[in-house]
Amino acid sequence: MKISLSLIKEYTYIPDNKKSLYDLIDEFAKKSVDVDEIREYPNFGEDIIIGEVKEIYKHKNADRLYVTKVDIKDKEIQIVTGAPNVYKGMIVPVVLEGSEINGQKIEKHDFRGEASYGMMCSEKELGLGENHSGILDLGSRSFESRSGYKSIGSLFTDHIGESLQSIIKDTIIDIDNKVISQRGDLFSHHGIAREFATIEHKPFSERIITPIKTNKRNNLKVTIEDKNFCNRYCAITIDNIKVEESPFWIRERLKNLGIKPINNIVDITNYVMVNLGQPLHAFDVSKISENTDLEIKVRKAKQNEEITTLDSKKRVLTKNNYVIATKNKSIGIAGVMGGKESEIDESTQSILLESASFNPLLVRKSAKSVNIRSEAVLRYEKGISQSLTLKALNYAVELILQNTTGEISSSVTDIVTNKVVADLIIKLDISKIEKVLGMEIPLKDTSNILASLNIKNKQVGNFMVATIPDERLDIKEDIDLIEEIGRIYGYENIDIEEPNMKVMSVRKNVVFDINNKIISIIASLGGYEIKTYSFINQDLMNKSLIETDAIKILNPISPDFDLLRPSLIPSVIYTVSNNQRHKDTFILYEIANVYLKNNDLQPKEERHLIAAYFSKDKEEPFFYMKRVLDTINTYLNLTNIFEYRNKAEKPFFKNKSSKIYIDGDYIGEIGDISSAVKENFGIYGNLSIFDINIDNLHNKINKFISIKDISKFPEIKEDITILYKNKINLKDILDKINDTNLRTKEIIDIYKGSKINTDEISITLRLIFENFERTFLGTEIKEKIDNIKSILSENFKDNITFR
Amino acid sequence: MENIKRDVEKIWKTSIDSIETLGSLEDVKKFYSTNLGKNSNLSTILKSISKLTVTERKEVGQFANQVKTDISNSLKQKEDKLKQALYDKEDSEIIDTTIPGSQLNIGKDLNIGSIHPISAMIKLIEDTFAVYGFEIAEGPEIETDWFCFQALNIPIGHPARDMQDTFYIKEDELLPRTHTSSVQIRTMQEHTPPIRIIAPGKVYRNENSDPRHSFMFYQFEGLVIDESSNLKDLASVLQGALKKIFNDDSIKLRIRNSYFPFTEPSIEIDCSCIFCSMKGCNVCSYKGWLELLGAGMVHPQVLRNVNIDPNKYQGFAFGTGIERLVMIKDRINDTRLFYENDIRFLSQFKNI
Repeated sequence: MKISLSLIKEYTYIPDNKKSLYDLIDEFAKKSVDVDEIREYPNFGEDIIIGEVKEIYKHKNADRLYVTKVDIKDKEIQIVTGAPNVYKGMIVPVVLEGSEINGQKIEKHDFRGEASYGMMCSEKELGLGENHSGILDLGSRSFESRSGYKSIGSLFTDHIGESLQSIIKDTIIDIDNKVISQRGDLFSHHGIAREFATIEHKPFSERIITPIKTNKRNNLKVTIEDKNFCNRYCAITIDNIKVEESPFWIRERLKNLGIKPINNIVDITNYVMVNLGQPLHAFDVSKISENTDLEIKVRKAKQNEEITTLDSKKRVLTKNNYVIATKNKSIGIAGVMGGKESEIDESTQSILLESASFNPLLVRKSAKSVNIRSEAVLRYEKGISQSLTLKALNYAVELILQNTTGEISSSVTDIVTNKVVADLIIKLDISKIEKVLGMEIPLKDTSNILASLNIKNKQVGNFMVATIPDERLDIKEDIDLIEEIGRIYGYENIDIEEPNMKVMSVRKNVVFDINNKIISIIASLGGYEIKTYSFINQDLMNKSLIETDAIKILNPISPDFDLLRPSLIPSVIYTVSNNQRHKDTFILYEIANVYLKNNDLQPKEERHLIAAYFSKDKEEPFFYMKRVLDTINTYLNLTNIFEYRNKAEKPFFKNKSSKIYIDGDYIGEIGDISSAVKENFGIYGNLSIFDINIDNLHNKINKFISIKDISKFPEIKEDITILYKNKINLKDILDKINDTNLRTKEIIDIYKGSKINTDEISITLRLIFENFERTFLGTEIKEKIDNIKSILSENFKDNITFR
Repeated sequence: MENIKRDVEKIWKTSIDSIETLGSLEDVKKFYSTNLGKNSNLSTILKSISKLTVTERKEVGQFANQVKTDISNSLKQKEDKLKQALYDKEDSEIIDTTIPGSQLNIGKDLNIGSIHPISAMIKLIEDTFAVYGFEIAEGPEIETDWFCFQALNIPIGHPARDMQDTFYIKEDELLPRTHTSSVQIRTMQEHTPPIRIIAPGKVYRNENSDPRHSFMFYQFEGLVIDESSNLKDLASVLQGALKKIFNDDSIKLRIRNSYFPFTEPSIEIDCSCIFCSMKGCNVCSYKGWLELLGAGMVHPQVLRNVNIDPNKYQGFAFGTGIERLVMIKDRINDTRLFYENDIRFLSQFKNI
């Protein structure tokens, strides 16, 4: 929201000195509301000076250009211009080469052989108006003596007239609305000025507003249907209105505050709103009643009731909306936006001016349902003090009477249905201030700060008894007062030290710990950890052949991200496809949650670990992934190895995949991604993925590492090569290789290929035998090997041969 | 005209015949480019009909297009058949999935990988705050309105809901959490003070992506509840922690007033710029300060909501975006890089 410091000046002291001013804004940003931007108006500052056109002739090579010589006191400079209204002797605002206007630097420019060392400005370029048809004509020398434009070469700013200057010369700060959403009082210059006054320890002067004086009769009947919605309604009628452009100073202020000037009546209501924070609305009487007697109802909208709002949009209302209505029809959405039909226009002669207090929650709900965010909504939804209702009406009437031809034509209607807040009294335990803030604040300062914020207070024993004015709807308990005291006294007074907290022992979060370990293990095996979005779309699911039902997002940011993912597989395959042109072989992995539908309100969230191995040329990617998975198992020191049995489903190849179990519990799947899926994603190469649920892995970790003894006697290594048919599997074979002296069974070679049948696998195992009592005898190992072979032959018959 | 029709007919017959004999997907591709592509016989013939009369042209044109569609359909059928055969063949290939992976002598050619910078920062945060007695806590990402808003003193219809653009699964009931503050509530409901936790995790906001915003990002939240911890303790702990996180002992903090419905007082914490010692540089936008965290004293209403007595207990909470910390520390200027997962970006984080 934009705040005009020249308007703040009407309430409290604002320094003229630029440095002091910026220091103050800095303090304000720290102690009150963050400031997003500071802008100076008019923004020509010292860059624009007054010059006189001494010579003028047509450009030889350009029909529409004039070459001029402009006197700027010390010298004459050449300026080329296209302005049709330039004449000899004209006094003009000039920007010289090297200076700025509207943030743009003016530089020497060559116009077809004629150099130009500056620019003469139009009204628009100066930010003074909309006229851009020619240079702003400040008159000629004869005019100069009358208007006071006496010194050629002096600053333009100094010559634009004192009253005009105080208005157009302004500093506008744009404050961050987000941090004041609890403080309706700060959506006004009145409220912001109070903050400034408090921060700089300067007095705050209330605006003196003359109460309306009227002896006219009451011509208005107001019915309020729902006291909970409207707790105060004030109104008055004004006749003899002539709708026209509002005075320059109002237009200028509104423009600087980012509000478009419309006409004198609307501008005045807006001006009162930015000033005091109370939205007002004016209706054209002739459009809402056939005679001077008016009937107004504040009521709930009827289902499907229609109204065209001021923005010319037709709105279909529901029971969520409240309207201001006449006997027959609604003329505005209460607190949200007025109706087009009763709008003030050039023909308006008589107006009904309304100032009302509405329930913040209900206005917000109403505005949301018709999707309108107006300046009125912005303020109503934050809560507006009930005492402002009449005050704002008084001020608006005062401005109308002063600045227009209008005359009061009714008595003041003021209906209070519900007195909202009596002044709240809060008892603050003085010792609590330091207990919460951790800084000592002199009691005198505490009291002064509150007083300056319009919070009356007195000390009673160990307590501060504070009376909260009704504009401060945000202050509800003692802690709120402590915040006021802390922020204004200044948090810079907190003496930050080395942390001095009581020692507390920290239990390791086992789930987190496993994540960290897994992340490190896979990274050291060559994996790049990725982070993909939790939201995906149906197309990605379809491409991955995953049929799980996914949870939908009601208001997705785009159709690409409208589902909560029930699987990490689509995201990972997609990421592989994006990276395949950067590297020929790589591993990607991620730990993230998947979201599964279930009967509770909240979906079931499972934490999954997924990894993918991609290679343009390496065959059997499956084993690269399996190596990673089994290595994790080893280094996490799990109670049991992963078991691989049963085929996995889509998107894997049937016979190149497996389900994964630990201690009999199913945890996930591993497999090579089928050609159909790879084709869907445009992946050219081999791709294998494992996807496991790691939620319960922390329950399956050995507390200790079990250490085997090492024999003092020499160990014996014996290699055997087995050729087996892929009907059977290596696990079953290995399970049958047992011996009391067998220490390890190590795979040292695997071969598949042209030298053997396609359904055969050759494997070379290194068996290491050890004996704790003695050295092995000569034939002992051979006997053991023979025994192992015969057990294998017995069990696997033709499916196994030895080499 | 008849000649042309006959030519087209001939192409039709031979094409259908030769489609039958295609043996691989490669052949299908080749066939397409020679027989249906821009420079195929059929295209050449179609070009020549411009010499005919209008009615003739219409007749031949229609016929040729029919032929073209028919050939394309046959080719598509053949392609599907070949694909299916390939899938079947691939499905019939068997590997022994029981070969123990930990003993395989493969994959050694891969370079060492990398840990995602966000994970690395979370670990750094975890380790740093552990020194001050903070434990890691977590909560669900898809939260109820109660945990994400209501218990945090943001009732339904409260304007503060506009501070965060929320995705909804069910309006005013279920949503991807907009902040990790929901974990505060879960922790306080389950544990009695003293409480000291750090809660890192994903959060979601319905705002368009740009260099500084992403609809998914990471936050971490800190919470301390005991009988005495105050704003000074908060500032002191954070200053100590930030010194470690940014590896800079000269760090100073600045505290500004702010507003969050679940803390009172609420503050913003800035830290002196670690790159320019507050002289002003482009990292801090020449302000000398880096905006880092939102924080404050836990609002008594929040304590009451989780049945903790605010007259006995008090404490503080703080939180910020994890990407923001990484971006400052590693001087990354676009938050989208974290989720694009480009290996060329990821492989630079050699901090395993």
